[in-house]
Amino acid sequence: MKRLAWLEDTPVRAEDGGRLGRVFEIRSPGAAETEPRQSRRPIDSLLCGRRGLLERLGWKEPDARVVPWSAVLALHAHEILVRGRVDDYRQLGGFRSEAS
Amino acid sequence: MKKILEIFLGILTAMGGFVEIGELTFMMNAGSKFNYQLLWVVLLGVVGIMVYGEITGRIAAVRGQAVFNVVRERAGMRLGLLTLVAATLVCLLTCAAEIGAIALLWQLLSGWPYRALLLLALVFFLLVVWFLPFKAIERVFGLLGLLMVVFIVVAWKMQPDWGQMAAGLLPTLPSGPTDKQLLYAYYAVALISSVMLPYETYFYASGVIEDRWTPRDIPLNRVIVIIGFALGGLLAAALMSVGNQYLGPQQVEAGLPGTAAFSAASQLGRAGLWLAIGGMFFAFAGAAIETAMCSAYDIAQFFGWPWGKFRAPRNAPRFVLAWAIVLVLSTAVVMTGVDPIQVVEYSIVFSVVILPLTYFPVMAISRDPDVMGVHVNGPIANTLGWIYFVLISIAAIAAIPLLILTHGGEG
Amino acid sequence: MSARTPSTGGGRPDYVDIYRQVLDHALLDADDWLCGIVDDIEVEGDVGEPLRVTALLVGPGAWASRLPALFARLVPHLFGTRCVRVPWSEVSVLGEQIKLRSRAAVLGLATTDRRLGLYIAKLPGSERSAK
Repeated sequence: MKRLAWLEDTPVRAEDGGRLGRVFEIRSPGAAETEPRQSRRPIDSLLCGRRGLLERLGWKEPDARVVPWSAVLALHAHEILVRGRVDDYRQLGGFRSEAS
Repeated sequence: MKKILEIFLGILTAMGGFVEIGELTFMMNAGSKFNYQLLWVVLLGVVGIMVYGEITGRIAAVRGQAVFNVVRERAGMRLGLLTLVAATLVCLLTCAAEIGAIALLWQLLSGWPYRALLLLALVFFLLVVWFLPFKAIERVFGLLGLLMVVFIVVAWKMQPDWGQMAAGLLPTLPSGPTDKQLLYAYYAVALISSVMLPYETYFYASGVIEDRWTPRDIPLNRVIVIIGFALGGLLAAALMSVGNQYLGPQQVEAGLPGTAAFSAASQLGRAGLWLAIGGMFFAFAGAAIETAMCSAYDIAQFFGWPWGKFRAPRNAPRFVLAWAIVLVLSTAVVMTGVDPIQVVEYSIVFSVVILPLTYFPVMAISRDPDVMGVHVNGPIANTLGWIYFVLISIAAIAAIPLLILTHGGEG
Repeated sequence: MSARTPSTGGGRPDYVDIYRQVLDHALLDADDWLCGIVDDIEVEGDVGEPLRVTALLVGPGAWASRLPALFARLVPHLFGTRCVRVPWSEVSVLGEQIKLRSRAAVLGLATTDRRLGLYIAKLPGSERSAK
């Protein structure tokens, strides 16, 4: 696990087989830098959701499921496996306006 | 006072730079084949380019950086690179057509060999873009392109059927065999494409950065875009009328720019001929420069290379190499002897196919309040923007099938 | 050109979305010179461990892997394999454009432009700019 760009659009599946959509965002806590501050930025969650045509066009914000990094069990090239069931993961209505 | 001059010059530049060889050819042919029945498409296209010109100008003014970055940010690496390659190829084809058309015009005047004139044109463009500042390029070719106004005078003098023209503003399908209807549809798609060519909005947006606009210039941008492009549309409509009045009866195809020049001569004599040739030269030359620079802007912005005429050439070397290489390759294309008007035809058709690709990231960003702040799309820009996006998507899907079904527009 | 962030009103969010706000954004150095685009992001950590962003990656070596395999193979031949690592500690302001603390030359960015610029400088008129 050396880089982040490849994760985008990878499907996410829960242990019980349910799908959480595809990764469309990676969230890091802490406000955006306005001065040099830290040498590393932590990553706390992946945002996953349905990536239909309207979402990709920017017409609709995807309904996001928040997957904490700690819940990730395995990373494969074509799939990410996470702990538990789909419903264990919180849904964000509009992912821009809500903090995870 | 300075602002008023700025607006005035901006409008004239937008009008003078509106027409290029593709538009000229298709407008005149549409007029000769279908009278004024396609005038509504011109109106539709002009409003469309106003909408996207305003949006891309606003994005550039607010972000302080150019629009092709937007493509990469929103479409991602894969789709973004595909868009870049497609847009560059289309720009290259258009540039080739303009250079070819200019050589044809010079050949008309001088009788010198075509290929020698192509090389002369290439040297001319390399020197102009290298030495002239952006503002000078914009103004010289934009304002002198206004010589094309001679065609408005010519159209007026030919006393067109005003009633028919007015009727043409409403969409109608021509009666007749399916062949004719398919050709009509093909021309409708081609006309929309020729008015809404992607390089126009991308070049315009890069120009906003070159001219150092800020969000305060947004109202200025709106005025220039609306009035300038409306006047440009008037010019396009005049070409359609001239095509109808001059080519129709003569059963001639506006294959050569010379034919267009002769139509002016038929009404205004020698003066008309010279004004038409002069106008066409500056309009086509402007388009050649814009497409070459637009390719360079797009490539440099996509990969994060320093770009712009506001930077000295030694500080933006890859940008300079990009436009120089595009000019050389474009000349090479027409050097092969392929008919520039044929090249135009293909560039127009492929332009419309990629139009949705180039406009969707623009729509996505302009709606995003995190990026645009208070300058995010209002209801008009949003509604019109999306309506046009759907329209051009339909045109994009229909373009290639229509090209095939009409045997390349031969009918 | 300076990093410009339009005011959105209200409080600033307490998180950063890496794909939307960092990846594919332009980089400006200490002198506000454009010196590249964020082509990928380096992280340390793994599944089951804390994950942290450590650096920005710039160059064809960084973005080639984001293309489908067929094209990714062509990139080294056309563009090279250069991949410059910009430590996250260099990030000064995270806005529409990402401002860095040091100058491009120090970070190893925009070297191709510097090299080519020396050749172009030999031509007359290469110094002229709009400024």
